[in-house]
Amino acid sequence: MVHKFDTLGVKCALDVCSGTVHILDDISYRMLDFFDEEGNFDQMGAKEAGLDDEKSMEAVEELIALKEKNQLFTKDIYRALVSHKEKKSVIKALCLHIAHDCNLRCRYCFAHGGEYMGKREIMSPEVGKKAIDFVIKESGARRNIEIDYFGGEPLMNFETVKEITEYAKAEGEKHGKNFRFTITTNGILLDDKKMEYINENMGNIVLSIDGRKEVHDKVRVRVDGSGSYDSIVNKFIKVARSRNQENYYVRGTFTRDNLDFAEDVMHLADLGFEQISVEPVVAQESEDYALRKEDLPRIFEEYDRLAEKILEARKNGKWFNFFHYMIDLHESPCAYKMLSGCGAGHEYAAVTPSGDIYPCHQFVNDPKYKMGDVFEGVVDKDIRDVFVKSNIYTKEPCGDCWARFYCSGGCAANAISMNKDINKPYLLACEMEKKRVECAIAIKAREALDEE
Amino acid sequence: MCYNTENTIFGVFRFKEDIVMKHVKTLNEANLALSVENGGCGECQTSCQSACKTSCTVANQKCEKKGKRGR
Repeated sequence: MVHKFDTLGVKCALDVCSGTVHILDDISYRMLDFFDEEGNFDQMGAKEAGLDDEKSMEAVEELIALKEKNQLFTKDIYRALVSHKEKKSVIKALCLHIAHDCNLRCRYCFAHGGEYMGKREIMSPEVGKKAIDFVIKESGARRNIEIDYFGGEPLMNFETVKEITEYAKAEGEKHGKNFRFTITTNGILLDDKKMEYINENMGNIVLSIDGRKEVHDKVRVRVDGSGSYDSIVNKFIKVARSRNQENYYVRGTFTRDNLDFAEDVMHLADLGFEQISVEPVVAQESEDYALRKEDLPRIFEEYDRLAEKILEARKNGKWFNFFHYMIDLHESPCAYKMLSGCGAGHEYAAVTPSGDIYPCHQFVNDPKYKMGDVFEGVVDKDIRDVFVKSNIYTKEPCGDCWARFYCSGGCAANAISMNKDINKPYLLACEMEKKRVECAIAIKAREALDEE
Repeated sequence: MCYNTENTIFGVFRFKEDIVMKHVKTLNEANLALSVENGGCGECQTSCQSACKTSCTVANQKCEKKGKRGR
């Protein structure tokens, strides 16, 4: 399968199954239309269209040469890897819900004020340690184990975070495991002491900020309704600097209220942040801030605008990274990874403050998806199977989608919450993902052309 | 009507190895198929652990064997 697109003024062809990207001129872009899925050239069709002149034929020859080099019209040979994935998959990453409580009441929060439709509670060190024992046992031969301290707001229970971290490091050493920690925070309770501990021990920190003050403060509010921007922004700047602008993300959410979200990304860049992620909100259409199908043209335009702004900033010597435009065209994740996606329910699981296990943070407190608990230390095989057996070949629209290896079939939680079926992806998210991949590739293409 | 590209274009057999690319510039030498042999170690980060939490993007994850997969 070949996907051709004209984005940011560059014509590109992506050979979907090899990952090769070609920059095309006008004539080769046009001639690509006369090839079928297998790469057979429709000679008569081209002739009838009056495209049998020398230049057109040169372009055709080049496209055929690429096919022969396995860089165009390659076949999808990855279906057989699915069974490998199913057999070898082990839980190697946990999202620990350190606190089902929060000091903010963000309007779009899927945890509904941190409580996840349940009660306010915090994780005890004992539950956290049991979770560490569980993942050490479950992870089999895998050496690297990821722990994400999440909430609610994990800094509301930071002593437990520290106790679990120290326990994991000690147990990891005993069992030959390398624990890697991430913490996600809204920053309200962040202080120098916590920052120091986090910098010494955690490979990643995710700092929640939506962008411009007026955008952030409209959504990310305290219990009394007041905005939180002023309380966190300088602390986040300090965190970023203290980590040498690496191994962190400022992470925001855009909604229908700020479809000009490129301004929010640029605001964060202007504050000096170099690692930026701003993602579309996921919400039912009954919410006034939810994104809708009719917003897509505006969102696509904004992604283009953002890409142009990034290119311009980089040209002027100001480099920053936008999470969803990160793409390594030379050494992408392997095919196995491209099939397994986020691994929710079979490589990744969430643990609640009381020790219950769910496929991921977005399923927490939905009784249908409770997989077990850290005390028993076993996971429900039937629920695991639902997740491990779902892949790009079981999801109907994905088999024919050119972007399938980049999103791996999308977010399982979104598919279930929007369409009640893990194999029916949330199509609004698919459209945005496809646009982002095109922009990410087009940025690489433009940068390559500029270097010449 | 379609013709297999291994045959001819407008009746002329072409030797593709000699082609100088004038219309196409290839940006990368990636070949996902090669990763079937050397990939699958499972040591990489789970995508939701990076900065995501509400979507799924795998393409921007780092390979733990970067530079060692023989591509």
